[in-house]
Amino acid sequence: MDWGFLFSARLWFFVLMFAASGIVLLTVVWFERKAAARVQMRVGPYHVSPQLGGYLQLLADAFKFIISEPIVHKGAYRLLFMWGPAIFVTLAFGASLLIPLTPELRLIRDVNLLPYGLVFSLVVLLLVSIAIVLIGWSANNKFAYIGAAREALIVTAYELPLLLSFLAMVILYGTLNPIEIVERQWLAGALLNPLAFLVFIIATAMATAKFPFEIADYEGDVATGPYSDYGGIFLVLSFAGGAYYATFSYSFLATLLFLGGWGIPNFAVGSWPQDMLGHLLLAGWFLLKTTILMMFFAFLRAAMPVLRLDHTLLFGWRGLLVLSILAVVWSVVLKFVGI
Amino acid sequence: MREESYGLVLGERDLGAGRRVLDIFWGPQHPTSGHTRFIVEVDGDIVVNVTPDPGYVHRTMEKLGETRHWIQNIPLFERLSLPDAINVTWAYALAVEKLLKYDVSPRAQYLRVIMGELSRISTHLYDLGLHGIMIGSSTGFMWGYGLRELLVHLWAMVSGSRTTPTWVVPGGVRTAPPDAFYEQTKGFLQYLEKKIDEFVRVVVKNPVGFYRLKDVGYLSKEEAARLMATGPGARGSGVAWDARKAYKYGIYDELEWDICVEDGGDSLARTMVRICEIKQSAGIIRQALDRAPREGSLVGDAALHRLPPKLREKANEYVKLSGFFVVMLPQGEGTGITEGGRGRYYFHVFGDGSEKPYRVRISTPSWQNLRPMIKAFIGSRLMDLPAIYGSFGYFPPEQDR
Repeated sequence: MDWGFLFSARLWFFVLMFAASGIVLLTVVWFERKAAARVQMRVGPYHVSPQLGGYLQLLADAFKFIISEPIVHKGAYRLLFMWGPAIFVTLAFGASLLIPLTPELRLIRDVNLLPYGLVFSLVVLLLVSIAIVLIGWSANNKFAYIGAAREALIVTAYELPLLLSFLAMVILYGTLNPIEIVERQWLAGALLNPLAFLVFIIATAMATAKFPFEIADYEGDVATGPYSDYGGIFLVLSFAGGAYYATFSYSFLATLLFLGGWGIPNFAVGSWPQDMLGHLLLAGWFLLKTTILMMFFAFLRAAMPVLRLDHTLLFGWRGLLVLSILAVVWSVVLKFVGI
Repeated sequence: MREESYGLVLGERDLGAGRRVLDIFWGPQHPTSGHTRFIVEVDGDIVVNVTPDPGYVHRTMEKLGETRHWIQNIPLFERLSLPDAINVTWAYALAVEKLLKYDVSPRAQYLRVIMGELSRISTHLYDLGLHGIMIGSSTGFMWGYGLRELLVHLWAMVSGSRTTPTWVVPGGVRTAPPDAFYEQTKGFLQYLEKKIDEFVRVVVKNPVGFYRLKDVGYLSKEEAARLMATGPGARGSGVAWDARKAYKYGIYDELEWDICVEDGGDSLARTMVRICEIKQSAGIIRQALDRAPREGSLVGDAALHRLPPKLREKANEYVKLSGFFVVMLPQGEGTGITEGGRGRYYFHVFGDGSEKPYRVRISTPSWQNLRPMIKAFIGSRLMDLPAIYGSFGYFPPEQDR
């Protein structure tokens, strides 16, 4: 039997992405809890795995959620109610699979198709909000309904700025190919166009309902909004876990566009599988930066209350949109100057 | 939205011209509504009407008060509002003192002020914490409760109990604080003042938090007075009324302090009144700690004479509630008013010559603040409801009695 398939770049990409994203999530959630606890005069997770500082708490939580009974209430639209979370997490995580992890570890084999992969990943990410609206509608509950309406409103506030900041970077690099994007970043994209980075970060916080934009599922008045009727595995796949996958994908994309992706200066990687260690090093570096970016989003929970819906919409249309247009202008200027 | 009516839906009314008013049942099982229900009618995002539906935690306090010995009502009535246990029982003790013509020992006067102000701080921290989580700041929540944790340790030191002190008795107080209490309270106040400034920076003056509170839930001075708002609800609207100044109970007029008033009338003003009162209370406690006599009877002479001899010898250290069992309430009535953290507590006790009160009438600040709060709700946005609710420090168990 030919064991060559064991070294297939696609297989390694797949396994790495699934395993690594799991570990990244574990770390980020642990950091979120521990950092918030540190700020808030308490200890945070401890009793599950005290030697590791409560690192495995998330696994215990996930186990608890998964074995609890999934309840579908009488008024729900069963099909969407049950499939909504699965659609949510598939879209949220699937988006990151379209971006290469290193020049050769990637799902899309044809180099000419890579630019489409990048655009498509953004499109898939923006579809997550539709999954949230579907969930909110299917629950047939006023709180979920209001939450879904809010989600739909917030999309209008962040979607254009997000796309424009993406456009700004594409103009700056002059390409949509992820491999070339990384090569063009002699200086991290966040420094080349700080405005676009700022807009992308804020829009990501809005899109993934991070504080202070946790509005659709604001506990104060709509009781976790679209997810208020979920429990067990449904909650894991949507609100409790799926949302972190969406953050992961957004952060993954942001790392590629703004933080230099897998690129390490003066380090040339050989071809897969001969230079396996080199590729794994690059992948690790990429995921490390993604993790740090996610930790920033996680830390916002400890620092921020929730902004009001109408203020958010105003901020999106008057602040973010203008900033993102300026970012595009800045990119065009840089392009003409020839940097 | 489909036709099946499901749990939270009351109905949708059509106003014509494509506008609909949606009825939302906000509570009693809701993360922020507390044990009460508000039927909120929203037109889009704007709240057009709120109908309160209180009574979910009605514990028949007034009726229960008629069924037992009057001294046993102290542990009962402090459960009206456990965060503010001292000020509640103080009002009851004042009413019974008027009825029994008890005097209060000088030492107990100072101790009552110290613990009463600690109780006010405790309530404000409780409300600020809840207000924090209502506007989404888990840090504010944890800080409020974390600081209150230090405070209840002080309570435990004095009374032996973290949350149910049962400490104010007619004529004086039940237990004498140990010497360590005087030192540790000063340390606590120092830390509290530092931390409360941080709270303002991180939660209230945080740009996001600021715009959640600023110009939200406006209550004008006239409306606040007309609807009988009390506590921070009134003082946040510029009504400088405080029972401590108005009735001069205890020894408050011997100490230097100011009424905290803000003119904003919005959630921010009410929150800042709380912050200001915590600082004022710290000042009052410091003055009282310095002046409080460390020796002397815990109860006044009238009460002391009726205690059994064995307890009378120990009256410098503690008084047992059972010592009051021989005392009957005379025919007559007495009222007691104190200023709690959330506003005015009012007790009206009628005696008929037996050991049980004939009738106990209780008025609590949350009940009084309900109408002003509904007034502040109307016209706000749906997301403002928790921000307004928390700013009044509304507390359903206290409201429903």
